[in-house]
Amino acid sequence: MKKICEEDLRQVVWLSCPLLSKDGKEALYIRAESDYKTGKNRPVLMQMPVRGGEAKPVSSLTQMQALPRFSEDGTKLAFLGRDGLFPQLWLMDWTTKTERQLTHFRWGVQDYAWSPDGKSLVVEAKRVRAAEENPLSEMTAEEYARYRWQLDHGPRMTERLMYKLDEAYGFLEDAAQQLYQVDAATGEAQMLTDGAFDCFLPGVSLDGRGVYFYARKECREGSLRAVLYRWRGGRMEQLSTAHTLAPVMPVFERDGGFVYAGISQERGRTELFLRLPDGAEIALLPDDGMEGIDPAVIGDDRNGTMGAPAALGDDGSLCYLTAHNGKTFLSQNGQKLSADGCIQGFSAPCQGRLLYLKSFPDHPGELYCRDLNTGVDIRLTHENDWMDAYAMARPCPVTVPAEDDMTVHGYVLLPEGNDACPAVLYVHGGPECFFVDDMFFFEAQSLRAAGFAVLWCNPRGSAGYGPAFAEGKYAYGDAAVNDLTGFVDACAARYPRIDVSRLGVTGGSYGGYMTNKLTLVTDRFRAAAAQRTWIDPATSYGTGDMGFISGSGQTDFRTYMLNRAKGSILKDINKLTAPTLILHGEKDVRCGVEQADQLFNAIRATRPEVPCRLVIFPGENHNITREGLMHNRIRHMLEIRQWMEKYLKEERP
Amino acid sequence: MKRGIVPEDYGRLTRFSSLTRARDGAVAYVKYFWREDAWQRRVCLNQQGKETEISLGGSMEILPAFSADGKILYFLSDGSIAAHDRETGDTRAIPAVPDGFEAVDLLPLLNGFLFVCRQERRETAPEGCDWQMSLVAESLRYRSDADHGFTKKYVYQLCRYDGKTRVLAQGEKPYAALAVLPGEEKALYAQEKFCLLNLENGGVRELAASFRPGGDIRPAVSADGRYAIVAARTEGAETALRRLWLDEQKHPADEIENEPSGLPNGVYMDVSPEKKSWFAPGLERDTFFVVACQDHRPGLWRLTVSPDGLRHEEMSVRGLVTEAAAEQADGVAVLYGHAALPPEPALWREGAVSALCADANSFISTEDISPYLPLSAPSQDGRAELTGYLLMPKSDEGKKCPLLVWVHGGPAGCWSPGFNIEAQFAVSRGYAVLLPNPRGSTGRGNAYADPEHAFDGGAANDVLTLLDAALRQHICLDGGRVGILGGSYGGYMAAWMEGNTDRFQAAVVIKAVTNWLFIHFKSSQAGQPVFDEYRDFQDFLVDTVKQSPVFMAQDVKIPTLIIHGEADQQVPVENAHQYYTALKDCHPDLPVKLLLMPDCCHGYSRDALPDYLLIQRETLDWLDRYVKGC
Repeated sequence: MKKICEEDLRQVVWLSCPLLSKDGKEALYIRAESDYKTGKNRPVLMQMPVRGGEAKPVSSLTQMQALPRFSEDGTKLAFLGRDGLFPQLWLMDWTTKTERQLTHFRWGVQDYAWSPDGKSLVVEAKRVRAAEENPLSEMTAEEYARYRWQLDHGPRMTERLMYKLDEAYGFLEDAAQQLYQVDAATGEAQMLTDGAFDCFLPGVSLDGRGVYFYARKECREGSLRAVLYRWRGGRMEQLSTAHTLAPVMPVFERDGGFVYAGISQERGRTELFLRLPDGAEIALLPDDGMEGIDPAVIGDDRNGTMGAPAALGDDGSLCYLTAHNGKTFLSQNGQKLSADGCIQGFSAPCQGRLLYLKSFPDHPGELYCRDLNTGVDIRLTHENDWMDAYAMARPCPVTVPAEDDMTVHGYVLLPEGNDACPAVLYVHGGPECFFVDDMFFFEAQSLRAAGFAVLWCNPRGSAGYGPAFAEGKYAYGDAAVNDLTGFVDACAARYPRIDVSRLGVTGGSYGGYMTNKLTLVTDRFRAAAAQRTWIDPATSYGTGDMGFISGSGQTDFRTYMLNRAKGSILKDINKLTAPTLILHGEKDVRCGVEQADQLFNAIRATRPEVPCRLVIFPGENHNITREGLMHNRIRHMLEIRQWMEKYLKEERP
Repeated sequence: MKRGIVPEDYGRLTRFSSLTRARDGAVAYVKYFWREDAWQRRVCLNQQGKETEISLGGSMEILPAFSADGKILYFLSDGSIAAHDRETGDTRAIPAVPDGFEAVDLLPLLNGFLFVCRQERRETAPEGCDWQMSLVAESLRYRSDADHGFTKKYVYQLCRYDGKTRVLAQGEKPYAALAVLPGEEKALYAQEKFCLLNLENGGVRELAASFRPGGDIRPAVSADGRYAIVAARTEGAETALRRLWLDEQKHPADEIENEPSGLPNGVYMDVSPEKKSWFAPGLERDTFFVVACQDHRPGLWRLTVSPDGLRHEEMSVRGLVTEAAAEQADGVAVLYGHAALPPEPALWREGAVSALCADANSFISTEDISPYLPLSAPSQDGRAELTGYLLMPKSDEGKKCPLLVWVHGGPAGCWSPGFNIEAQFAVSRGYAVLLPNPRGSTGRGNAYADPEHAFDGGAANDVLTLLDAALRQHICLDGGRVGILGGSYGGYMAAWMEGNTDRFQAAVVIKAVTNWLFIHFKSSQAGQPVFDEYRDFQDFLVDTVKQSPVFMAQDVKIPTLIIHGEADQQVPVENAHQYYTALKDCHPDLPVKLLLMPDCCHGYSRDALPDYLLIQRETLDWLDRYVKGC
C-alpha cells in the first residue's frame, strides 16, 4: 500500500453538479482535475447510463463547463461553457447532440434559468456600469488584455461603504449582475433589469411571464443582505417576506404560490417557505429538530458548486439536504433517503430516480443513483479508485460530555501500527460550521500517513446541533477552549497511543483564532499552525470585509475602537511557548493578511526564542485551502506537516 | 493667458543626479526623464557646456564614473558594466559581471575597477509553470518598500576587474558608501558599521567610531588615506558630516566649528532615487566641498580638515545646491537650482554659478513660478522660532484666495525654498500654499529636529501657529477656505488635524499613518520594541489606538480624500482602508473618497507618470470642489 502525501492531492478528481436527463436514463455530472502548469481546475461535463457504464464527455469544449440544466421537456441541455474569454451559455440538442454557443455577452454569463416552455432562458450576466460598450458583444483578446491590465494596475476609486469582498479577491468592480431574457432559438437577448444592484439566482414562474430573483445593493446594515423581487411585464415588485432571506437557491412556484429559502428565527435554521397569494406562509420542512437546508458543513471537497440544497422532483416531491448531530441527510418529503456517507449534492428526482454525490473520509465524492421505488443504490462513478492503492483509514467517533448538558462530537484518525504517536488537533472555522461523519478529509489522511494521529471535533459554538449550541458566547469564551482541550483528553484516555506530550494544533480562520488562543491560554500544545487567522479586532476593522456585515453607524466610535483593541488575543502573548507557523493568502479580504503580519511581528519581537515562520501565498484569498491553485494548496499542507514533524517528532526529554 | 504649471509638466521635467568629474574638468551625470511610457535614465558627458548622451541602449543607465586618467567613462547599463572611450567615441560592454548577477556600484581604479554586483536568491517555479511562489519570513524586517513587498534576498559580491574578474568579498548585505583608499590596497564600505576591506587578501576590519553610517553616500577619502569624510547617524534626527579615521590609532574627538544643521537627507527634493554626490574633494589638500543644510536650505559648504577637527564655512550661493563633484580650476561642479529651476548641472566659482546645460528645463518660465515668502512666528510655548514658506497665487482680481496647508513628510524632513512642482500646481490653480517647517523638521539642527512632540499635537500646534501668522500677515488669504494635505507624516498630520481641529474645510490624506498598529506590526519597520515599555500587551494596544488618528473618526467633519499605494511597505495600505471605513461608517453623508494605486509604494512620485498624474488631478479636483467652492 502506498503512503498518501500532499502531492497526491493533484490526482483527486472532484465531482459536482449531478443531473438526470428528463427520461431518467442518463446521469450527467461535472468532473474536474487540476492542471499542473496553471494550478487551476478544468471542469468537464460527463454523461453515463444511469444503470452504470462508461462515462464520456458531453461537449466538445475543452476548457470548462458548468451548471448543466435540461429544458422542461428534456429535449435541450443548457450549460455554461468557455470557448474564449468568459463562460457563455451553450445549448445542446439532446437528441442529435449538436451544440452551439447561444450567448455572446461581453462579460460572459454567470447563471441562468429555463423558462418552462423551453423557448427562452433568463440569464444573469455582468454589466460594467461606467463603460460605453455593447454588453452583448464579446471582447477581443486585446480588449481583455487591456481590461486585465487595468484591473491589476489601474487606480481603484470608491465612495461606497462596501467596496471590497473576499470573493472578489479585493475591490469590487463598478459593475452589476443584471438579468436578460435570451431566445433559445435565435440567441437574441433583451435586458430585463438595469440598476445599481446585483441580481442573482433567477427563477422563472410557471406561466413563463415572471422572473423571481434576489438583488443585493449596498445598505448600511448588513450590506450583503439580499432582497427578493419578481419581475413581470417590465415592472419589478419587491416581495418582502416574514423571514430573513437565505439566498441559497432560486425561487420556484408550486401550489399557487412560490417557495423560497429563509431563516426561521424560532427554529434557528434555514428552511423552505411557501408563500401563498394571500400572504400566508407555510414551512415546508418537517419540524424535526434538524439543521436546516444548506448546512454549514466544512470540508475539503468544496470544489465546484454544491448545487441547490433543495429541489422539486418531477413527481412533485420535495428533496433536500440537511444535517444534524454530525451527519448529513438527504430526504424526500420528510423521509430520509441516505444512511451513510457525506452527501455533497444531488439532482432533482426524475422518473423514479435520484442522483447524489457521496464521499467518505478516505474517498472523495462519487456519483450514486438511487432507485426511489426499490430503494436500491448503484454506485456509478469510480473516478477516485486510484486512492484504493493508498493506505487510508476511517476515523473513530468520540463523544465527550460538555457543560450545560451538551455533548461534543469528534473524530480520531490513528496512524498505522501500535506505537505511541504525536497528534494534531484540527479546529474548524466559522465558528458556525461543523464537521460531519464521513466527510472527505485529505489533509487528515496525509498527516496520518506521516505518522500523526489527527483529532477533530465540533466544540460548542459550532453549527449543526441547534441554535443553543451555536451561541456566540461559547465560541469566543472559555467554552470552546474547554471543549477542545477536554476532547483531546478524552481521545488520549480512549486511545493511549496518543502521546499528549507531543500535541500540535491547527485550524483556519476561526480555527486559526482558536489555534492561537489555545497556545496562549495553555501550554499543552508543542506546535501550532495558524491558517488565515484572526487575532486582533483593532486592526481587522476596515481591513477585513466582515465589518460590512457587522459594523453600523457608531455613535461612540472611540468606545467601539477601544473595545476592539481590548479584544485582541495578543494580550496573552507573553505566555506563548509553542513554535508557531503562520499561513495566509495575500489577497485574503475576510481576515486581512495584516493579521498574519501582526502575529508574526508580535511573536518575533516579544518572544524571540519561540520559533516562528510566516508563509504568504500571492494571489490567494480566504478560500485558499479549498479553491486555491493546486500548487498553493499542496504547499500549504506541506508547510503544516513539516512544521509538525519538526516540533513533534522527537520525544520530549 | 498664463498657463502656469500643470501636472503634465511633471513628465516634461529633466532631473539630474550622480554628478561626477574627470581630472580634465569634464563632468558626467545621470539624466532622468519620462519617455516612451517609462522613466528613462541616461548617462551624459558634459564638456564645457556641450552635452553628449552616452548609451549602450539600455533603459536604466546610471552611476557614471571616470577612470583615473579620465579617458574612460564607465557606467552601469541595465546591470551590466559599460565603458565609453572618450578618445575613440566608442561605447561597449565589459564582460566583468558574473553570470546571473547584476552590477549595482562601480569605482574605477588605476587599473580596471572595483564593482559590487548581486544575484537574487528566490524559489522558482518548475519549468513551464507560471506559479507565483510563496513568500517566507522567519526574522524581522522582511518587508521593503523598494522591493514593493517582501524584501528580496540577494547574494552580494564585491569584485575587482582588470581584464579578469576576481571576487574579493561576498555576503548577504550590500556594500554601501563604497570608497577606495589611495594606494588601492584597501576599500571602505558601510553596513551596520564602517569597515575596511583589504583588496589583496579579503580581510575585513571594523572601524571604531562614535557614529553609525548615515546612508549610501560615497565618502570622500583624504589624499593621504588617513581619514574619510562620511555621512553619519548620531543621536539626533539630522544626518551629520563626520570625519572617520581609517588608521588603527586612537584619535581624540574632533572639534567641530560652525557645523551646518545636517546633510540634506530629509529635504523635499524632486530627484531621482539614484546615488547622490555630496562630498567633493577640493583642490587644496584636506579641503572638501560638501552639500549641507542650514535653515532648511541645502547649500555648498567648504570643509577644512585639520588635525584637531573640522571647520565649516558656507559658500555664497543664490539658490540651492543638491550635489557637488570635484573642484577643478574652473570651480566646483554642482547641481544647482532655485524656486524656478530644478537642480541642474552647473559650475560654481567664488559665488557665481554658470549653467552647464541651458535647455534642460527651459519650458519653465519664471513668470509661472511663485517665489517663496518666508514666514516665521514664535511657537506657542515660546521656546522656538517657527519657520515656513508661503507661496502666493498670481491673482490680480483683488479677491481673497483659498489657502492650502501642506505638511511635509518625515517628520525628519523639511520644505526648502527649491523647485517644488507640486506646490506650484496648486499655486497655478489659484491657491496660496503654506509650507510649514514645524519642530521635528530637519535642516535647522538637532534641537529643532527633536521629534519629541511630533505625534502628540505639539507639531500640529506649530503648524496652526504658522497658519495664524500667515492669515494675520496676508489679509488676502481667506481663513474660511483652508485645506489641509500632506503625504506620509504630512498625511498623518492632515488626519490628526481634521479629527482635532475645525480650522479646515477639506483634507487630502496621502499615504498616511492612521493607526499606529499597522506600523508596529506590518510595515518595513515592524518589530521595533515599542511595546517593551508596557507591562501589559493589551495596555500597549489600547494606548496605541488612542494615539492614532482613526480614533478620532467621529469628530471628522470635512470632506476627505484618502490616497495610498497598495505596494507601500513603509506605511501599509491598511491604514487607508481602516480610516476610510471609519469615516464612512461614522458619517454616511460626508463626502469621503478612497483612491488606491496598485503599483505605488511609499515613494510614489517615482512611479509611473500616469499614476502620478491621476493622484495630482484627484487631489486638486477635490480641493477645488471642497475648499475653493465652499
